[in-house]
Amino acid sequence: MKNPVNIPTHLKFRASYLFFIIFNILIGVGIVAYPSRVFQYAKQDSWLVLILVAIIVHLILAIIIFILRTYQDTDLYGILQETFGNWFAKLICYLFIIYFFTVYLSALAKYTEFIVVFIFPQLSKFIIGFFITILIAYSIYGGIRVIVGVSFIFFFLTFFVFALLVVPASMIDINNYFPLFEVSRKEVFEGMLLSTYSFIGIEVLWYLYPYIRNKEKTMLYSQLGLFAATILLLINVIISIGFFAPKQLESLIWPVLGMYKIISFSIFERLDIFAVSYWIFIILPNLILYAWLITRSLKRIHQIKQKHSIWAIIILSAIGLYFIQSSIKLEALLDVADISSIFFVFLFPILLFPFAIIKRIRGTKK
Amino acid sequence: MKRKSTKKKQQSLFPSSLEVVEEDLNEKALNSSPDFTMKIIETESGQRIGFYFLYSIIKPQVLYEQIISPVQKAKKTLDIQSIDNMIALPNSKEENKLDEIGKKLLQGAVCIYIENDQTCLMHSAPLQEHRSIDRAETESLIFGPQMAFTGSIETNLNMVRNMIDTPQLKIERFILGNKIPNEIQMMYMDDIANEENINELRNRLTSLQSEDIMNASVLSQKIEDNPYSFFPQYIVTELPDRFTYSIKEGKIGILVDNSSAGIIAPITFSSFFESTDDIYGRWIIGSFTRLMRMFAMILSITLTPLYVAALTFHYEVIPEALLLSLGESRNRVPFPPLMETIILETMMEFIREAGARLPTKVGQTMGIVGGIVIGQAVVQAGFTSNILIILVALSALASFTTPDYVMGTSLRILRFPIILLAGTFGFVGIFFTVAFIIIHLLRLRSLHRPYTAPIYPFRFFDFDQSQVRVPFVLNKRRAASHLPKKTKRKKKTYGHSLFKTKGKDIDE
Repeated sequence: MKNPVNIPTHLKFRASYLFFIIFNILIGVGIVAYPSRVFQYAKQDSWLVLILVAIIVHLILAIIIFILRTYQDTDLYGILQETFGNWFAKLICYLFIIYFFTVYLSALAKYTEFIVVFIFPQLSKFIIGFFITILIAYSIYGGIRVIVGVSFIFFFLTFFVFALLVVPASMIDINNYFPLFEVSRKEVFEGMLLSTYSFIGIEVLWYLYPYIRNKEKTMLYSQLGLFAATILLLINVIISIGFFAPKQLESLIWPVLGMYKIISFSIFERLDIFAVSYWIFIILPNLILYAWLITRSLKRIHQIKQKHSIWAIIILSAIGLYFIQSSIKLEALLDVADISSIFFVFLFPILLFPFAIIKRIRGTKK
Repeated sequence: MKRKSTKKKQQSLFPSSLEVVEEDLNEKALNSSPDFTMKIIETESGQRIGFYFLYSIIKPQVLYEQIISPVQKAKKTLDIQSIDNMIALPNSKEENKLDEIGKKLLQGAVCIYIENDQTCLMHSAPLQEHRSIDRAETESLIFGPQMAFTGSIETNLNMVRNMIDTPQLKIERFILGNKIPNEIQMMYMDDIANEENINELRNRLTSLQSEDIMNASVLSQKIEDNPYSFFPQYIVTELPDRFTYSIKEGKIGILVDNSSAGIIAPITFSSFFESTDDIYGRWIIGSFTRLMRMFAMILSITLTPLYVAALTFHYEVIPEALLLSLGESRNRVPFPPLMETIILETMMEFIREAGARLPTKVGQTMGIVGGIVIGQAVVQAGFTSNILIILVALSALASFTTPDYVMGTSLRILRFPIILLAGTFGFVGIFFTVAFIIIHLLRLRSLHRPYTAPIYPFRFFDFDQSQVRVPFVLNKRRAASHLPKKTKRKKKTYGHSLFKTKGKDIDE
């Protein structure tokens, strides 16, 4: 029944790259809106909510890796096939594909919306989306080597743009953080639910795991990647709270991009425009990884060539972009992604956890 | 001599008289060449001996002194063996097939035939005219040896052999080209170079089906991994020291006959921004210039696009004071920034290309005309703004810092699509193209080795000899990016023991 994935050695990569992959897939469009969204519930204690969520996500990541280790050398499809049989495995994987596509499309649409709002109000989202999908298809065609490479190189480019936040960080008002621990339990819970969208992406491991050369280091590097992403989110939240007045932060949609507005150099100012364009480096690894996840899982289920399925994604995302031109529809899509992510990212591993434990116990008995 | 079939009988030349051989050779094997010559000598014993050669590719001195004159002086009856004994030249061969004789004659051999004998003797005395060892024209050095490869593979091999005089230098010889054969030599350090790389390159060379190989640059494009890419995937250098340095580091070198350049494979993107000068100079100079070249490369492809994008769409990113002076300098310009930049960049390319094509003496005048006259007049006529002239000149200057001319030109041409996209999509267009270039570089390979190494796949210890140049004391390993067999160098890389005083205090 077992369905192992045999990856040729030259396609496998070192576990240390997981750090960059996990970091990049976690940091995407979500971070831009996150500080103000969480602030609506948790106010000045938003950072506390974030830390609480991060701890849970760390645990869930550990669970995912535990499950993957139990089953060895296989991915989500193989695991489900072994535990639940063919049909159920296919069903769940299809649901996952739909979920991946929802996240992919919402991220793509969200980024095109940034550009339309900040830079080109007249430009069709369709054209921007088209250009980005070219890049996605081009890197998918390069295979896993290029996909990991994109995550790796763009990580360093990402770093630079977040380093610019030093300028708003130097202007924060300490009083904005006080009083501490005022938020109620209900608000904390609501804030935590909302924070999930910022933490989707760890499910990439379900399909990436067989590609790792030194699997024993998986835990270390993916947890580190998650930790780094958490720190970055935390920095963004803290700077946003300190920088904006509470009322102002509540009313803002994209506070992180707003902070770039005040950065100015002697020959360059209004860095929000620069940052929005630059965000392509942050969003690309994200989109590429999700597109890869879709093609990869389709290949696992039906042996469809990734070369062909990527075109299906491109066409579908073009149709999708056409239908969600308005912001209201986009928000609806984001809500769908939000809610489904709670199941697919956070509940699913917990549901699968007992089966893995059973397998381990059986394995030791034999 | 046995004759197996009638077909062979027609082919076979011998035995016959000297005149018949001459006619046969010239008509059938050489396609009636006017420079085909026969010299008949009658020895004292009455034998008639013929010498056949193409006088245009024979060294006359060798022919007369080493080949004809000993035979002339002979007193006994001669046969092929005794003639061969008289001639002191190496590489003699007995031949009796018409095609083979013709081929050898074309490579500069002399055919010696005793009338009515079964076979003839071939001795080579080729004349190859090549320029002497000269300074490199396309890659210039400050500290390095002031010499370049010449057109002759013998001279080039001589230089390489002199620089690496160990038996570990292994040389493999190929004759490529179906129609016009050319000699190609692949060389590498037997104990260092990676086996997979060697096999891959050997496979590519032997499976190459090509009519002829003009020179090294052409060959390098025929064995590339991605022929559609705008980046070169092998370094073609005319510097023997760069060539041998790469071989010593575990790469593979290829020399092509009749070509004054050698190919180095596999290479990485960053090696195009390295020069052997970085090694000859002090480490701080080397490191600084390498980093500067990388920076210049980024600057040269993004500076003018940023100007176009900022002035077309995002003038709010320019501070007020600067915007005023920009506006002042642009107020007479009738074109949009995109047009203005394209015009000036094209003009810059005209000047560069004209400078390259013109004879050296006129070329310098060209620079003055282009730089001062056009530059000044263009602004005064209100064609472009002053600031753009500065930016274009700066980015042109930056692109010339790339030591490899092919890479420098590729990058300069790359600027045009970026400018176009900057003019249509602003910053988004620029970053889109930059992302595209990065993905393209990630996809590229050189001999199946990643092009972007050591950045990705990340090898921290390779940075000391790619992006920077550390002092030799610290440089204990060979770059692992090309997976050489040995990465460790000999332990002592420094003249005296640097760490002798370990354990003692400063002044003890």
